[in-house]
Amino acid sequence: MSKNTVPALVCENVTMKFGGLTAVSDFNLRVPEGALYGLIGPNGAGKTTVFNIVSGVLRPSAGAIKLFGDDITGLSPDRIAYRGIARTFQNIRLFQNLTVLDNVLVGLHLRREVNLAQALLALPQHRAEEARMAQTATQLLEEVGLDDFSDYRANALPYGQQRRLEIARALATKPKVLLLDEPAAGMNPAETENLMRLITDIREEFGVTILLIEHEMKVVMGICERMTVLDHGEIIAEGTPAEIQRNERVIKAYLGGGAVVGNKGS
Amino acid sequence: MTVEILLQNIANGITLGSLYALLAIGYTMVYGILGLINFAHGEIFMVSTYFAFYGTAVFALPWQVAFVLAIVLTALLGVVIERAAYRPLRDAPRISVLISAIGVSFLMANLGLVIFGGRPKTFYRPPIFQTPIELGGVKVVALFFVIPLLTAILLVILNYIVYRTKTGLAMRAAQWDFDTARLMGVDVDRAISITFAIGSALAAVGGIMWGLRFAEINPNMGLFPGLKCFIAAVFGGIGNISGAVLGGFILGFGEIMLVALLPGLAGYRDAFAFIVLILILLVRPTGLLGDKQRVKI
Amino acid sequence: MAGKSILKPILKIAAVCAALVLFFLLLWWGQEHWDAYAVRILNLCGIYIAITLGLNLCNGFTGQFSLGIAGFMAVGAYTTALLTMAPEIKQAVYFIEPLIYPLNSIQWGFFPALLMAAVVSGIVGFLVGAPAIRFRGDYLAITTLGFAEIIRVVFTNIVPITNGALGLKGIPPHTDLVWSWGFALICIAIMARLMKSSFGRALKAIRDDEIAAEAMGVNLFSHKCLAFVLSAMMAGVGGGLLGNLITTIDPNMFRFPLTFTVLMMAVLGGLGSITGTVISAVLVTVAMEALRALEEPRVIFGLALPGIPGMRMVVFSIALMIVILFFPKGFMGDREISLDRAKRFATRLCRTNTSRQG
Repeated sequence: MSKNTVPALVCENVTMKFGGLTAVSDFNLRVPEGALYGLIGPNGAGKTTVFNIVSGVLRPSAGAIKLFGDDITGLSPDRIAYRGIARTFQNIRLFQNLTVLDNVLVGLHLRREVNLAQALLALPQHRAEEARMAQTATQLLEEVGLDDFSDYRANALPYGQQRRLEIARALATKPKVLLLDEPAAGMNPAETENLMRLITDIREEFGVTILLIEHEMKVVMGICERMTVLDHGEIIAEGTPAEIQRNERVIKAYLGGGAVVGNKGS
Repeated sequence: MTVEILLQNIANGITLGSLYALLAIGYTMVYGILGLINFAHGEIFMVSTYFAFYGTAVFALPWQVAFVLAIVLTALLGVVIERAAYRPLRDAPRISVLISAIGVSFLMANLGLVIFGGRPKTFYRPPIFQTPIELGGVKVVALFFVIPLLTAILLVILNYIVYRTKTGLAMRAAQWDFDTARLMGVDVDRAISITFAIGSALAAVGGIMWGLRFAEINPNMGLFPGLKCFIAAVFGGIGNISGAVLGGFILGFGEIMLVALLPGLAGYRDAFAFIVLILILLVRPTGLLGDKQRVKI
Repeated sequence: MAGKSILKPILKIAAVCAALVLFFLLLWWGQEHWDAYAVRILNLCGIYIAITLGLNLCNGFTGQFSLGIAGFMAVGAYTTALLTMAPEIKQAVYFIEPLIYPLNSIQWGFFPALLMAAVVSGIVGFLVGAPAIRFRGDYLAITTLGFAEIIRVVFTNIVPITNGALGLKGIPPHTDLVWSWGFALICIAIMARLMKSSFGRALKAIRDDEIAAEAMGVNLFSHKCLAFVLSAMMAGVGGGLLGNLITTIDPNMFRFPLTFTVLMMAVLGGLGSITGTVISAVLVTVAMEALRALEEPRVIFGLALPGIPGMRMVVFSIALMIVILFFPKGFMGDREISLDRAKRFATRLCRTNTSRQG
């Protein structure tokens, strides 16, 4: 019963100050389980700061983060990943010198069942787990369409595929909530189309709640059910794509900020 | 401890602090611009003393000429090292540059051993620096005044260059971001070369004064005094020139006072700087005067 | 079919065991019958393989650039020496201040002493690593160098335990080819297993991108500590083997040049390559001995040439500079030589050919 009432991710009055600068102030967010939720806003609005707080990279100056009702504020990033939040990065952060397959395998490491001694002695449990991990990783790579490149080095992949690999790697941690930071940045329209399909497929297949930061309006408007709009660290609107598109403050924030809405990258 | 000995120790602390400060500036400037511990800086310092030694003892130049020549040659050496060993690695991982720096440091120390010989050499000390001066009942030689005074003058000049000239502006711009600085029309390579030239020249001044103060020079004198001065720079806040000077003084003073006040711990003198470093990094990683730097994610 | 699939791994294990037995029989025989000088160099090769692998685990595979290896070697060397020296010899060596109880009256076998060296250097590795791994890049390098220096200074000063600057003499020469190469093989096996496991991938992930690794659930502290402690243990046991090979040690042996030598071996072979490390450690150790001639006076064609102290390190520093400037990944990079790899390479070659045709 609680499943339907407790939201997957909640930010309560989150404020982040860097010295004298307030990057995010009094930020509130409720992402219901299974949602595909958008977080948009012009450049420098504080979107990535929100992600960094939720994923544990930054500790908020005030406020709380809750994952399915549990307070996870101030936990280290690896603990938060273990609790079930995975993320991608705006400026891709793959393990450049590892193979595509190994990148995904690293994501599987935190749910390992064997210990170091078993691994060093190459006991059967270890071998079985390695085989299992390889299988899961391959499936994930198939999911994002990279199974043909599994023994390439990550830095040999083209940009768009690196973004997909980041998604596969994040999925490997078996997240309950997936944070995608501008997954369509730098993609061409065809790649963006594919990505949108991939994101909706992922939600269906993995039953994961997705929070998406996106600059590209088309993506957010196309796939998100609801969204929150940030500007200068403050929430200026919240609602369905249709509501947001009509919202005066949003239009002003985007146009007033000098950003061109909707046709970036096309 | 008598007042006399205390004053003597204070004088020792100030001179050693000045020497550390001069070396620390070179570390802090290079770290500020390249993000690199210039391991070879200590060896640059070592070689400068030999330049001065050969000028006075072998080529029998007047000491004024020999010292100035040594400073100029050392500045050139610094620039050459940067060109040969660091510039080709500008886009390489930072670890490669660090290894390269360690390599240069070792190469120079051992070349020094091969060329100059392992036995310590006696540094020529012009009598003018040995003139005894009496102050408050304590007798010290002129050198004890010359070293801090010269350090202060050089600091004023350095501050002028860094904060009041176009060259200094270029150096400070390059410290922030190479690409942006280039877009603004800054010749980054030139700014780096000048940084090395200034840092090495100051190391040479420090080296010559080291020779005047301690009279003996050897090819192994670079590494550890060098590292200590890097620690002084970290202590003060890396990248910050005033911080390096402050750190140099505190370290020099602290070392002398440790030995003076706790003679039982004199054997630990060489570990003192490293213990300070580790404590500083754990408690206040940005040093006394450093700015906070964040990694962008 | 089923019989064959069970038979194959058994055959493989049998073959490996047979090869190992033959290898050690050869070493055991060689210890007695080969030239003493050659045996000494071979011993050094085995020891340096282990120590360089340890350094590479931390600096190369995990990307934690540590310069403390000499300190850990010192800890291991002193531990092993103090545990294996005979009480009478200790009494004679410690003539300034006597060795404290109970160290003055015990004498252990070589194996337990080496185990103890592993434990002690592992603990020291943890004590050094736990605070130091918070620092990155150059700062980690200089703090670990500082720790090694502190260890050396402490060893110079705690005379009742270490005999101070005089060092230890008359350490029993326990180290032979079976010990040194046995330990080298253990280290190779540990590294190979580790790097094929999930833990090894996590370490490499930390090297490539700490922030991303942490976001993927890799606990930075425990994984870095793992690398640091294992690395210190390999150095410690290596140091113990070294001490009981050369039979005299003093704190000044364990200064920065020793770390530099090991670092050079790792860099030349490729930071991040096990096979590269093994090859490089052997080559550099042999070259070190061969180039010793440069530093000793000798007569060539009736001409007396003076020895030039420092010349060896000049040659090695230049070699290091050339490698880092022109082949920054060493001669192996992070690749390995293995049968699997050769096979994969062949299949990929075939695949690209067919895809080109198609």
